[in-house]
Amino acid sequence: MRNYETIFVVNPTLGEEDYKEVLKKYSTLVERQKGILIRIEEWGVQRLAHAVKRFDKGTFVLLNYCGPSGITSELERDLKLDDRIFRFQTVKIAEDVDPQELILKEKEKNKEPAVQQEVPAQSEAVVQDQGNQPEKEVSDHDG
Amino acid sequence: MMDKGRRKMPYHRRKVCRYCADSSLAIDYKDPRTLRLFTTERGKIIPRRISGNCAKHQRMIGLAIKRARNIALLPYTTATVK
Repeated sequence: MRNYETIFVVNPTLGEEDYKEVLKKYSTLVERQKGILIRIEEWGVQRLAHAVKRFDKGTFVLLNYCGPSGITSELERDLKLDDRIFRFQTVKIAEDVDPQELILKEKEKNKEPAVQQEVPAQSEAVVQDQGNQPEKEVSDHDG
Repeated sequence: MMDKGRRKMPYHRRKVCRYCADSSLAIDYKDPRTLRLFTTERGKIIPRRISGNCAKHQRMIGLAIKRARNIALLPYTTATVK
């Protein structure tokens, strides 16, 4: 079985009930296609980095699932026809995985919530370094 | 004269790929905050020569940025943003 991840962006003006229906529709669709749903992430309404179909906000939903290779085309066909969804993207994460193992891992992750705090501060420092460098290089080569 | 001397011996500092140095760092297209470090203010991907990434990780960064752009987590350009 392969492990896939599909993100889709739902119309943010949709009512609560319609939104729940969209969620339900695609999670059942995965299961109907002999797939195993591992995780659903609801990111809520997010600002889009660029306008998509004249929307500047969207409700993001992420589905992580395992399934046979045909599952994505089935899912994407429905996503394409659905006018409540205006953007979607599927990424293959791994080939030949054991879905039960992933489910177990997921449970463990939920037990001990994320330990990510330090990382962003560090990376910012690095970029400042990088920002200073290009000028130096250019002047060295040209001068 | 001084300029000539400088040209012959350009100042070089070896940049180390962040992702090679720390294997716990992951490149994820769902994490626009980290990816933004590898784009210019205009949203262009910063070249390897400047970012200091190794070839492998630069490819992964490039792919992740393109994926993030597709689902509107990162801008293609700032010109359209008002």
